[in-house]
Amino acid sequence: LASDGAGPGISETLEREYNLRIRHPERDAVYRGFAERSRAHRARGAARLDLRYAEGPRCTLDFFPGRGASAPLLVFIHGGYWRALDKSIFSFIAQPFGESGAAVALLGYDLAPVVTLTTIVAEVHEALAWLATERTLEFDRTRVVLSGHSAGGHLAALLAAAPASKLGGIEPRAVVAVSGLFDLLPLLETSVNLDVRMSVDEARTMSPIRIAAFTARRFVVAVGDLETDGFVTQSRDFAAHVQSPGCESRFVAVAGRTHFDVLDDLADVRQPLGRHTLELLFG
Amino acid sequence: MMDYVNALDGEMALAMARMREIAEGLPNRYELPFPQAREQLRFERQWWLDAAPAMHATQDTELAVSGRAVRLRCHRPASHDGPGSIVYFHGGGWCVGSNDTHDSILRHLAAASGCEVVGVDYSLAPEHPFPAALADVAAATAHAAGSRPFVLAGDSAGANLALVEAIRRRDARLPQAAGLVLFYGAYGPLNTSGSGAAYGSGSYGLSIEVMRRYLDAYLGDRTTRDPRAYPVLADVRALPPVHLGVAQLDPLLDDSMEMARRLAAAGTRLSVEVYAGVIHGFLSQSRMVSKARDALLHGARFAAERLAAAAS
Repeated sequence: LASDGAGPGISETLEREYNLRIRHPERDAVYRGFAERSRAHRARGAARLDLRYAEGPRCTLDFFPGRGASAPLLVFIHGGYWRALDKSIFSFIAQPFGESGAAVALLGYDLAPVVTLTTIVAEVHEALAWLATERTLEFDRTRVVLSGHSAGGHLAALLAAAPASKLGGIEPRAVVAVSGLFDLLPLLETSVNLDVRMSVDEARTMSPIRIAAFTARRFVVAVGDLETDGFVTQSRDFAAHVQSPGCESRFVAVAGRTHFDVLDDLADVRQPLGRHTLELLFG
Repeated sequence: MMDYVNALDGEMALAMARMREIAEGLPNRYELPFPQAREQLRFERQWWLDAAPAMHATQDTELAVSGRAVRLRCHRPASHDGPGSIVYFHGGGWCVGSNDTHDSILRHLAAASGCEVVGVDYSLAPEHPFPAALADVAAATAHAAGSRPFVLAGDSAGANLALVEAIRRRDARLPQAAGLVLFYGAYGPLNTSGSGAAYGSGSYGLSIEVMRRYLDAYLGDRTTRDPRAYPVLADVRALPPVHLGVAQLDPLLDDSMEMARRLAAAGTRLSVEVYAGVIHGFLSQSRMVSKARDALLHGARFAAERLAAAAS
């Protein structure tokens, strides 16, 4: 029988686990809803939008101020397999944490196939370093929590392993990775890599599951419990990987949530996922 | 008419002495406010956990359910996966107990069955009264089972929850458990006669008075006829095979006997083991009581057989 467009080097099994566009026709509607809520939140006018942190065309960030210089900062990195989406779709995540007094920064970054994953990783490092030194932005540099969704969860985890010298002196205290990717090797055999074009070496060195030491001491690793085994296993294994004496790791499965609407739980401090994030910021 | 004997198993008597020794100088756990009672139970159980089997891997998951965080503990006894998983609900009158206090039960079941065991820290009353626990149990079962065969198991209040979940799955036409393993469950309204009168004074651990307190905290109105509270009132036709592990010197002995009669009358494939001379909750004393280890082995074997049959 004809394959579903799987080309040479593409495993149909892995494609089923990781190509969510086919599996979730409702994805576009969910993202339209997010974009609408995000527009409404930005319209309140408190944010400083599209602050340029590096040269790349998409290297800007949106900063939603918190309560003064002692406010903790939540950094959010959007997903889209490093090849799609935009920070503006996710401004709504800033709302509940802003209402609690935290500052929130949503990072943009250049996308594949225009740039490689190595470049994207370097860009988000630059974003943190820029935040660290940009004095017009008020927040407590010692209370930074990194969060991200899907590919953004991968980038957040990588930043949590960077030496402070590469992040302008910031030592992130915690990571909230939602539906993240921590082992990139399986993606080499999926259509995702037609755009991302990772080499085996890149996939290996940039897989957080292969990194031995992190600077962040607290991890919340969350996944929707309706996600594919591939995504659930990635999060479960990463949560186990970072668990060690002196490093607290919490694996959260969100009942009834998919890869996409799981972000509703992050943006709601009445839900365990939002509540844990709030505790990491203020705890 | 049943004859309610009073002969304690020798090892059980020694274990009860050890329990008194551990709790010496502490307040009566059954009279404490629930938050303190939970802490004290954790402390009192610590010594009993030390002898539990080692696991290949253990991972805690937190399942987010309607605003609540339900902790799941997955024990994997070996590197290879068994044919399915045992989803386990601990006892403690819907008000106390956790995967910590019941960890030795989880480990014994995993070791003896060769299957993954997932313990569920469902929300407790009175903070989360009926039917909150049922929603947690449903979500945890769906999460833990995935698309593989599963057995629902539990002791005491947990046996009640496991049975209620199987009935719900039947009614909702959801994938059904391959079997049920139920240890000394509470299935019906408070029974102050029969085994309640014979063993409910408190000299065998659980008392009528304590059960009344638990039921009030869990149900608010103890006189309810809701079969989700009292599965003995439910239609129990078309349920999967059931294994009942029963303690003899238990105010809830009659609950198991009545449940067995109803399940048998409904044509359920049923196995019943009554362990003589042991008290309610004896599975936690497996370190000293060989009948507890036997009971865990019997339940684990039943579960493993059901899972193997479902997987083939």
